[in-house]
Amino acid sequence: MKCSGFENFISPHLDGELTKEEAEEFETHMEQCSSCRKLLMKTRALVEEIDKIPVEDPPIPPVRNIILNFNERSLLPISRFLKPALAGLAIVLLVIIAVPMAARFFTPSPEQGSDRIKVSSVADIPSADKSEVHFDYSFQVGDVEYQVTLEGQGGEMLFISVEDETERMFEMEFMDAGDTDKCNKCNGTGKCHMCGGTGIYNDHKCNTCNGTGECFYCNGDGKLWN
Amino acid sequence: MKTDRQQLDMRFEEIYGEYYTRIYNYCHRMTGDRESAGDLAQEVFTRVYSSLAGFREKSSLSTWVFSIAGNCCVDYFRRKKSLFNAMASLFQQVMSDGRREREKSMEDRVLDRHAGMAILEKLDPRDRSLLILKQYAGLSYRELAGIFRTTPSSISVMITRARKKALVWAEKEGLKFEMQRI
Repeated sequence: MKCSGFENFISPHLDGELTKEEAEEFETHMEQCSSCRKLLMKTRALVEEIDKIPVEDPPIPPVRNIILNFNERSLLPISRFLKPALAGLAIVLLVIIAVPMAARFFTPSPEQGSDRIKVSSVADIPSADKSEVHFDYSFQVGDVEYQVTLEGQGGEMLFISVEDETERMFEMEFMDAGDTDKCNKCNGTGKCHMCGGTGIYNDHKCNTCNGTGECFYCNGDGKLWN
Repeated sequence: MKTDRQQLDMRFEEIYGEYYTRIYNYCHRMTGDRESAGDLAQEVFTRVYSSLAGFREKSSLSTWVFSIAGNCCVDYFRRKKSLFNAMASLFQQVMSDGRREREKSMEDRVLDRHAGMAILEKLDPRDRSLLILKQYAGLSYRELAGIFRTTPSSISVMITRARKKALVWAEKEGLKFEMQRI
């Protein structure tokens, strides 16, 4: 191996990450090569300089602050991010309420009662839980009847459309960003992304998962942080 | 018999007591000032608390806590980098050049003069985080790979490069380290 190869061993050596064979090879080279030895010394000095930053002993704020803050916050689950489902609901409500209202105010009402709102079916109230949502609503402005449809799975996906008898006027799809805890390397499957869980890649032992077939990033549980 | 909630709170209190100082020091090394370090540490523990129930101890607790801290710091620098903040800080700088320096406590200035701190400050947040997590938190390359979503060999390359960058900078600045014979 050339010097450039051994230069890449310096940091792993200082961090104690070389395998036994690599370490032996490295030490042999260090005895022979003065320029690598010099670089090793410099890097070691750098590492030590960073290690020398004094450790501080800060005053610890009371733990109750965090628990209380958190519990207060969770009383309002939508305060941090408006869940897509709730955002969808807000828009639908806006459409349901604002359009007839606007129609009432800004178009000459032909006869009283003709823009009457009628609800055809309310199968489920859209919610942020995972229940299926289907919501139909129709309203009439003048002679034209509009149909609002909202469907999908609460908290995950919502499809909203507004149409009159002939054409779709407005449609919108909301998708949740997905489970943020899901391991994105194996897409939550827990299986090694290289060998697909077989442990064999190109007829050899898969070296990404070391032949275990388990996703190396999430240790096979499909979750990011566990 | 304690409820799950109470047990969770108790566990959290233990973790908090055990890790606060370490997380604070990590954040301090990352941000270079005490106030942000304190704020960040609070944020880290809020996240720890919120996801503690889902932690199933597949990795060690310290890796988990530090990975949350790492993410908080990434978010912190992202926020800092946002256009609005960039403009705000530029404005601040123009309006009160040097005020920050004066406001810094004596202690802060002494610490800032520490060569190690100056070196860390010169690195970009990712490299800085890598070196601190490796050297201060004592995580292995494998654990770092889990946090940075890459492989241990890439971590090795990243650390090598970060240190090389730091060395080049230190040499340019004429920083002298005490060198020991091997």
